Amino acid sequence: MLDRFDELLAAARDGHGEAFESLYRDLVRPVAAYLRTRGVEDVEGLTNEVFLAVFTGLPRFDGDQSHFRSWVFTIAHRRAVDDWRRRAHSPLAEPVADVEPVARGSAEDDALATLSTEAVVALLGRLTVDQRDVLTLRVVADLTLEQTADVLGKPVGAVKALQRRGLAALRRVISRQGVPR
Amino acid sequence: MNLPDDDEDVRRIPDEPLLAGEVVPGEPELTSFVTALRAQAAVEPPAPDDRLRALFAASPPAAVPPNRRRTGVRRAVAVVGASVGLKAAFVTAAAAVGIVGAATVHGVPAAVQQPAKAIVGVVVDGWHAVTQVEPPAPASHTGDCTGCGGPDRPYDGVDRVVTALAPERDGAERAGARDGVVRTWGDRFGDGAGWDRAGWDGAGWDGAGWDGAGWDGAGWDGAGWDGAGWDGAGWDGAGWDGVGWDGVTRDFSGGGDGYASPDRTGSVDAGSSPDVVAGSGDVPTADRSVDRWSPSDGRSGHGVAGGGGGSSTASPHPGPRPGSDGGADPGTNGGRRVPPTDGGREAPAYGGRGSQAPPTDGRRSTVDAGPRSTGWDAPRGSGRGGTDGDWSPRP
Repeated sequence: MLDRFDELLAAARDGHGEAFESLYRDLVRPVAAYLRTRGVEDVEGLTNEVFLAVFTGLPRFDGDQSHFRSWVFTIAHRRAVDDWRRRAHSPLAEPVADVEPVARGSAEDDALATLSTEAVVALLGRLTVDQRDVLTLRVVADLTLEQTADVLGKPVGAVKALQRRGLAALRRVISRQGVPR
Repeated sequence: MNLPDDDEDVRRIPDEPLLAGEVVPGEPELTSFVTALRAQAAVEPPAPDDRLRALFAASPPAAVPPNRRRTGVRRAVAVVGASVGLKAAFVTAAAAVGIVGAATVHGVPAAVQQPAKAIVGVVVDGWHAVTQVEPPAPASHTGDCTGCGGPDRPYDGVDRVVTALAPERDGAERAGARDGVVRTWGDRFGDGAGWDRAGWDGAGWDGAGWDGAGWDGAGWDGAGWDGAGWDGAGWDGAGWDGVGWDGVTRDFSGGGDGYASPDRTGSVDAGSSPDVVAGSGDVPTADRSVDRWSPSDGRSGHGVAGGGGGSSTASPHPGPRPGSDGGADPGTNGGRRVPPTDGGREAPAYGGRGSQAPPTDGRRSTVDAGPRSTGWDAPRGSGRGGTDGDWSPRP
């Protein structure tokens, strides 16, 4: 969170480069992480596109830091959807079997602690698109239920249900197939 | 596991503590997964590209955006103004061209032409009032031609340039009667009577425009021809029964006075020349009392009947002449004396009234091919093609 968000936003609106960079540094990691877990291939290029769109549309934005965060991830989400539509399929649909399974039992906790990015993406690939979006926005983007509902354009109750069902599906996958490395 | 069991299982999941990163007892798999997922946000982000770096390097442009906006507005206004101005100028020019065209072009309906002429008149008057400069007269081939000498246009004594091509003509030469534009010459000069023909030395007419038809020989007394220019070829002696010749060879170089004219029919066949000695005085010459005998040149198929632009190529056997309409005896036209013509081209239709071709400037013209006149002198001198001033008006 930025301490002087309003001042930075005003400076960025006036064209101050430093203000631009401060806003960028605050959100570039979660945005890139969201795009990465969303299965975007060119994470670097799409991340830059998202922030260029943010700074271009900055004069039209009106709100506080919470709204700004939701607005930035809304742009990121739409860009990710466009990218997914361009590729006509989601790489997250690849079967988990492609990822090397690990043993269960007492060593399971150690394996989960060392999940790689590919393993996380593979597990998310077992969920529906909406379940994956909700979990990544809640965890990676650190959005609230209301913010996530705003980004996805869904009611808060629907987002809550998607969140629970997604976690339940993950628990079933892990208990049945183990944890991919 | 049935659906109610699934719903019950879902409701038992402590989703909010898990997603908040708390350690939830009994859910080690989900706790570990959420931890790993959250760790994705700690991965080193991609570097900004050049466009973002340019934004980050921008100096505080507090005063720049307003200036840019004003500059942009001014530029947009200038572009829009120039575009509108160009469109207005284009539309105005198109309207002016349309009005002037409607006022001047023939064939435009009167309902359109009259208002257009009124508009043009107002503009011309206004221009004259402002500049005090008399507007130029319209071209002779456009507009009305009052006083040009045509029908219902009395000649007003002003010589005007009469173009060879009337405005409504397409330039194609056609046989048959001329239209009103071509007859303008005749309407102006009538039959040539009363024209003193002074000031013309006969030079410059190549005989073009007259096929020789229609001259009955009247107007020439035979004087002035010394017989030169004819080698005797082309006459077979037919048409003369020898009556009246006393067997004495006379020198007619002086004009043939005292020669008893034979009774000739005027028919001269081509290709069968009598044995005559070419030269002055040795050839049968014209009977001045019978004007139907042809003073056939015989030296040139081009130069006699055709005129042919003054070609002097000798042709001992007068067959069909080059450039003629074929078969006719050179230099003859049904036994009538023929002046040089334009080498077989179709003559204008004004002939046939017993007149002789008038002088022209040597160019073929549909208008000034020559007035219809009578009493022209016969060729003098060599009698050849008529390109070298052999014809002269009677003094």
